Amino acid sequence: MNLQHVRAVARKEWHHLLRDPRSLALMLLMPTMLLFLFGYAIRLDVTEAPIGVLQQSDTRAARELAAHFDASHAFQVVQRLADRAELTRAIQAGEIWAALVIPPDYARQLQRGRARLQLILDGVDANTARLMRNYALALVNERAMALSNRPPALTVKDRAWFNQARLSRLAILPGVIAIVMAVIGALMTSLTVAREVEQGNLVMLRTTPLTRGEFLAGKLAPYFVIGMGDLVIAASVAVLIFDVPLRGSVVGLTLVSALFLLVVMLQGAVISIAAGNQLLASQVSLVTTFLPAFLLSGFIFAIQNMPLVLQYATLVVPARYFVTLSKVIFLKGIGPLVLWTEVAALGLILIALAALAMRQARRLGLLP
Amino acid sequence: MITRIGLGLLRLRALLGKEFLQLLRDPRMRFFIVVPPLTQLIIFGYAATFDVRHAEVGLVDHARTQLTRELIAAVTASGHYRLTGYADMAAASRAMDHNRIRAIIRFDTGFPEQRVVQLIADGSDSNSALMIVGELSRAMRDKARRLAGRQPLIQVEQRAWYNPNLEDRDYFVPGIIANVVLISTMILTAMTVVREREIGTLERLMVTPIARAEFVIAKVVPVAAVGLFDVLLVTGIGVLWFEVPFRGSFAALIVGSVLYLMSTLGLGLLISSYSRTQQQAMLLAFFVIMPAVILSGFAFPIRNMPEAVQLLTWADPLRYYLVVIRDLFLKGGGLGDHLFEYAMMILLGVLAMALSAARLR
Repeated sequence: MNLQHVRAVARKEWHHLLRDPRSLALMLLMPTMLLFLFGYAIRLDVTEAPIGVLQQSDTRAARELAAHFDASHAFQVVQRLADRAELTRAIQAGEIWAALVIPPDYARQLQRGRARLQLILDGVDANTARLMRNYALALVNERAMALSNRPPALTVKDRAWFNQARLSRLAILPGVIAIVMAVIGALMTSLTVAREVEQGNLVMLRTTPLTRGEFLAGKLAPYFVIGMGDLVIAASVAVLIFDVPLRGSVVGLTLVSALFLLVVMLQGAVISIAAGNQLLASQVSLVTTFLPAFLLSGFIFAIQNMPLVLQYATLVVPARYFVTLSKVIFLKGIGPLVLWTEVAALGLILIALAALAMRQARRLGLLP
Repeated sequence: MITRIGLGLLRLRALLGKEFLQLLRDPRMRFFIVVPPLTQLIIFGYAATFDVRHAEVGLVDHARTQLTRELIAAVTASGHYRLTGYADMAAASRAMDHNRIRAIIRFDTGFPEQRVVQLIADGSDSNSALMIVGELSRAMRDKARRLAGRQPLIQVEQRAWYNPNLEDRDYFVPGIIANVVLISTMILTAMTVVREREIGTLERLMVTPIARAEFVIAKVVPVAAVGLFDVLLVTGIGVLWFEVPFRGSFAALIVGSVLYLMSTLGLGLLISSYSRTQQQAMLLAFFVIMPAVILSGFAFPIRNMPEAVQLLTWADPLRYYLVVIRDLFLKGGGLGDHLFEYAMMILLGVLAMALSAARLR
């Protein structure tokens, strides 16, 4: 490989990027845009969920229970329901997400030691419904403990390590870097090689002493620089604006990110050579890199919650290893060497992709 | 006059024929009208779940009494949790560091007197942590109460409407239709228009008698056909394979989808009017798709967002289509039920089309 040749291709690609300031600006804005979206707009927990109360008798015990729900951070009583028909209508219209039905004999049964309540959930958003059920049962349990004069049979004290306040933000933002890199690495590089094919420039390059390895390396180099720049931006915004703690080593994070970036860039290169036109290349890289990075990496949906077959399928998703490493380095403060299996897996995928890319590159018709 | 319209129609037919041919001629393109929606559907249908059906849990039991054994049995009874014993907290916390366990149950030596159990969850997956803590503590509390021979003071009978088993799938599958249509139609429109500009055929078209409107219609109609095909494809597989119920009217599905397509195609044209290269178009599309999907309430309820962000969601066509399509799948309903959503989609679509028409001269 002649470094001068690589540099010439890289310089040409770099000029191409600089001549198009709009694309460059978008690529550098991407991490910030994604972090703001995921940092501000996403809350997986339920807070102040709108609920209705159907209180079938006006007793003190019933009022206290409703007030207990209203005072909690999970719920907000927005409607006093008059009857079942109103309850049905309010849930159907989406005005309330759940309804608490307090039967007419609630106070009397409470004195006898066995009261009953009914909780009706709008199950359309299953996750929210499950969380509301958890909170409602915990609130009822608190209420029962307060009313009962006996000590509880069991006290449970719970804590969440690495994320005391259980903020979804902290759990999600370290994974955003994976999304950014998948887009810059795979999507952008897949377009750049496909563009040369589509516009016929390759035919001219075939007459030069440029080899395929030099061509690919030169094409990818500028995007590597941009990707690493995005890493710096993403990490800074996450730490400085969203208070995500960076407990592990910066060097470790940088090295792991560089490895992942190389992997997705090679993915992009393979896709673009196989696709041959930009439209197809962009669709393929969306489906094979961006979507898996989003869905199959543990970024938002925990891999352990998926069906077993799919858990095995995630083994070939590079983003899976990177999301794990990034979360662990940010939140748990452990070095990448401790999780060497993840690093090794990324390394293996890199080697396999490099071999595949060189094979595919034969189709470019350049010198070997 | 009549001949002019006739000629226009003739030109339009020729252009439409060319666009359909260009889109469907390449077997790789045909493949990719079908495969990306299917991949999205399958991945989302299976992978998108917040429900904790299986979790590894660490156990540090310093008390080792009959009661702790009973409580442990209560935890494993659901089949959702597998317990692994650890000698001390140091070993257990190391296991959590390495992502081998997602929670730790700890009984101290003082447990028989104090009756306090500690539950520690891995907060680096906050949603699962909430779920696991909720379920584990409920299982143990209920067991302890039953062992103490007590009746629960207040019993809660719970029911989830529309989705009694709380399947995440029923929530996500209708949403995928909205995503698939947005991604495929917007990118297709934007990229095919920009390609004409990039390879210079747009300039050649300018010297022909083809009007701007004819050019736009010819570009947009095949893509709309692809979009409608994707709607039907995903709906069919969602209902037949994933067994998601469809309770509403089919006519309402078509009308809602066509109105939604107006806005996604409009956005695609708008993007193309701002891009000179396909790379720019792709980047811009990404800057539209990500906020549109995240802010639509697709996976994260809009009500949980900060107020300022909630205002932004009003400009998101996906938000309205999601309401329509989720109601049609899970709650039922017909053509007359979503007039507000229809109106908003028409408004946003017309706005995007008008803006891009003004720019695409």
